[in-house]
Amino acid sequence: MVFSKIALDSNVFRNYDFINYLTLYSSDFEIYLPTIVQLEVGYFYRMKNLNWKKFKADLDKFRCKFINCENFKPSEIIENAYRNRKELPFRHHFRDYMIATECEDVIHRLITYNTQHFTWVKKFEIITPENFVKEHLKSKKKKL
Amino acid sequence: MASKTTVAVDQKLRKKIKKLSALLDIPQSAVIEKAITNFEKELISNKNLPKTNAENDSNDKMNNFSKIDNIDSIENIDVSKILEEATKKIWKKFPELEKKQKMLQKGPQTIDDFLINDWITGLED
Repeated sequence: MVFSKIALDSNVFRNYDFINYLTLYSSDFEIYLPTIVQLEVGYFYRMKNLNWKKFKADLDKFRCKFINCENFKPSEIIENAYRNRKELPFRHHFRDYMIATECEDVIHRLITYNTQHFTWVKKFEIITPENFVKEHLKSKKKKL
Repeated sequence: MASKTTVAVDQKLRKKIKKLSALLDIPQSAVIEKAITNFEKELISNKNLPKTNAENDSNDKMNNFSKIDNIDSIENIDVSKILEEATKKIWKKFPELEKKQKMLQKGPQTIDDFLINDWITGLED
């Protein structure tokens, strides 16, 4: 049974131990990558001389799926950005609005190190990799 | 309450600490603490010096993980040790991944350098 449907923010990829943890327990998760994260991390790989195929091969190891393009809803991104413009201005948080809005109807949790950028999100939980691991371990212990 | 002290750092180092603090969303003191912990670990593994009490505690926590039967005690577990264990297992399973991940960490450019922090649109401010 899937413990959680999750999406990853780009900054999570700085912690490859966490990515390996997801790989180790991949059958427990349904993992999604938002569009902008695909671009940011894919470009990071490219700058390290690793092409898209190699990036995709790493994602396949933890059965990571791309968020369907049908979930990209510009009008909703704009509305979310407008509603929260005072606390989180568009020019600095455009990517955050794009990521969270795209994930709204897909996931249970967004995993990020910038939890304070997503305080406006209501439809799913925002959690750091470390806290997510604790939640996962707790669920495993409960099952035992 | 823990006692505090002031340390003098040059401008370049201060900027680095400030940048890491913002990226990781942790206080500047925590950045220094993490850096020193990593440096200490590196030094110990290179010189075979005796382990610190903190390290022994942390290893004990890891060793005791399988014996934990109280879910609340997971809150105190050292997650970094669990993640490191995961890496060991995955690198054993996918040796090419170890090479790739080490390559991604090499050099001055990190994933944080590629995040779109400022989307300059001219529509605001």
